Amino acid sequence: MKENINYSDFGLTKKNGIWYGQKGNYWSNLDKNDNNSFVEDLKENSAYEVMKKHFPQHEDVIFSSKRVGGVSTLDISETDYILDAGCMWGALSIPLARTGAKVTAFDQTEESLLFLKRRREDENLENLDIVCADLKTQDIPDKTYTKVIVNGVLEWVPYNSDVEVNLVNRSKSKKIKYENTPYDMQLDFLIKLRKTLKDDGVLYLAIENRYDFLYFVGLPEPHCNIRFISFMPRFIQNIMHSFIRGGEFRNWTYSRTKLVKLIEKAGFNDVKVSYAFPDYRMPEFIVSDKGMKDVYRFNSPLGKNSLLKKIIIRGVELVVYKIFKLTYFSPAFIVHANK
Amino acid sequence: MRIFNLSTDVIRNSSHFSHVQTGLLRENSKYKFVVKKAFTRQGEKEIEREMTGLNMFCNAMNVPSNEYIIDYQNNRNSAVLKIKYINGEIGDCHAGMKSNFKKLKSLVEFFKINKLYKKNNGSHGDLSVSNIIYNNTDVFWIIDWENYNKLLPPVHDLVYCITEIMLFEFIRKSKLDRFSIHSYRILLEMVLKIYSIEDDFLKKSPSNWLRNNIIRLIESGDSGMNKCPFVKNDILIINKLDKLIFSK
Repeated sequence: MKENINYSDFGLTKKNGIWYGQKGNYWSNLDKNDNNSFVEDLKENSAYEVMKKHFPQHEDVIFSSKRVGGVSTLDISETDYILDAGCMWGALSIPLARTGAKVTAFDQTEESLLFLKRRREDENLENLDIVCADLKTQDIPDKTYTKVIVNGVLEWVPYNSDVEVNLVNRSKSKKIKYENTPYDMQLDFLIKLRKTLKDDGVLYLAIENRYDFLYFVGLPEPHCNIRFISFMPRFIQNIMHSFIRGGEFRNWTYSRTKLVKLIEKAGFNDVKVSYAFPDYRMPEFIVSDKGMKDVYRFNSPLGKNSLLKKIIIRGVELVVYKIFKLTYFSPAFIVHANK
Repeated sequence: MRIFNLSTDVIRNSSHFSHVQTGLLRENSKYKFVVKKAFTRQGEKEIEREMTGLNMFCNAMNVPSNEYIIDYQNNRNSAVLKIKYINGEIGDCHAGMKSNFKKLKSLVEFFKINKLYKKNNGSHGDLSVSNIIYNNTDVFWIIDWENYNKLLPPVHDLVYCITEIMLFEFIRKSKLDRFSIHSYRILLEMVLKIYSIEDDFLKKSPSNWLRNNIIRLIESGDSGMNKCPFVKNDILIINKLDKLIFSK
């Protein structure tokens, strides 16, 4: 029997199966009204039924077995203590808990966690703890976890306001003055996560590549939905973002080199990077530098582009990845780093 | 044991209809192991089936299964299987009958020599040339046993393998040439002879016969075959294929 983590020592209180702590901002793919509407239904229906009724468009994001492609790179056993930082609906927390490891699913949006709680009940996963708090401000235990998962979260850390993803990347929002740069906030976040890892613990981090080749042929940056912004110098990013969406651009992603430097600056060692194609959320392939020659097609998303543009994308993909193996332009990184 | 970390060079993630992540592990610059992982009940079932199929296949090949199966862990919700990597050329099911004829002939011989046709051996379930490892045109090993079952008729595997080549060729070219049709008939005859089958429906409508088998398998609860080309493609294509094969 694994030892339970006593979150009450860190100021958290347990209510109806969820630990509550320092309240954070709202972050969800659903807007606040939609999120409120499904909570009542969770009492009578399974999480899957609720998803089908209220947000079927997110079925793959929540339930697809492809979601675990990235975390399958980890060596997980029943003896592990895993922190899923920014777990949302539990797309990774649930599969991770199925392995028998002790999993703590951490998120700041209560509605997402009520949905996850229902999933936990549906699958009878007693080894899954759910915590509703802001990881940036909440005290968490030191040297507790053997693995920390940061899946598509680091680029959102620099926000200190409510984020309704559908609004943030479609409309102009009001300008917020930040004291710290995105880089500093991301660094502090990683330092904090490093402290919570055991001495032989491993960080798993998945994030988009700032220089994904598709951005150069017009794919919009996924966080703000603006074309050609990702690879621009930071000050031009701010000008573009301020003009189109309002406020500075804070969803900072990095090149491989800069990302490794950031992680090392947070104190991690032995940083290993792999490349996820066509993205890290539902990758078809995850390859190392050596593995690049063994992948035959990379399946970059073609979207609603014209036939000519699709042919160009496939052609460029072949030249960039298959012939020259330019991982510098890969879509996303999956990183393992030791404490 | 470290099974699936970033020393893994390629991970193929739940491709097609599978719930399994497959990774290739290198040692001293050469691939040494294949690791399969599942985080779902369906995936765990697939890995369990693969284990059963591999054990049967190793027995048939007179290879001690512990030489091939390195590690297997299963907790009903998740599973890990580590097996030996077999080096060789994998067949291309889209390459047409001309390129595949010798390979298919070799496959039929392989089944005959190793007595894989025996009833209690069960069925691979997804025997495509892309799941066969060749040494030139000789069959060397069969991989991807996650659809292994004892529900399909034993002759299903070979009929599936040879007919799938025809189906893909027909879809690609919208016609079939004389060589392909003639080769297919020879192969089908060889297969039926090995199994001593006198089934008129199979003899005259192999594509429809396969489709019916797979539908029955899906109805029995094996959702893994939903995207099989004989089910996924329109019945009109399947009917036309049967008609073309036996019309000239």
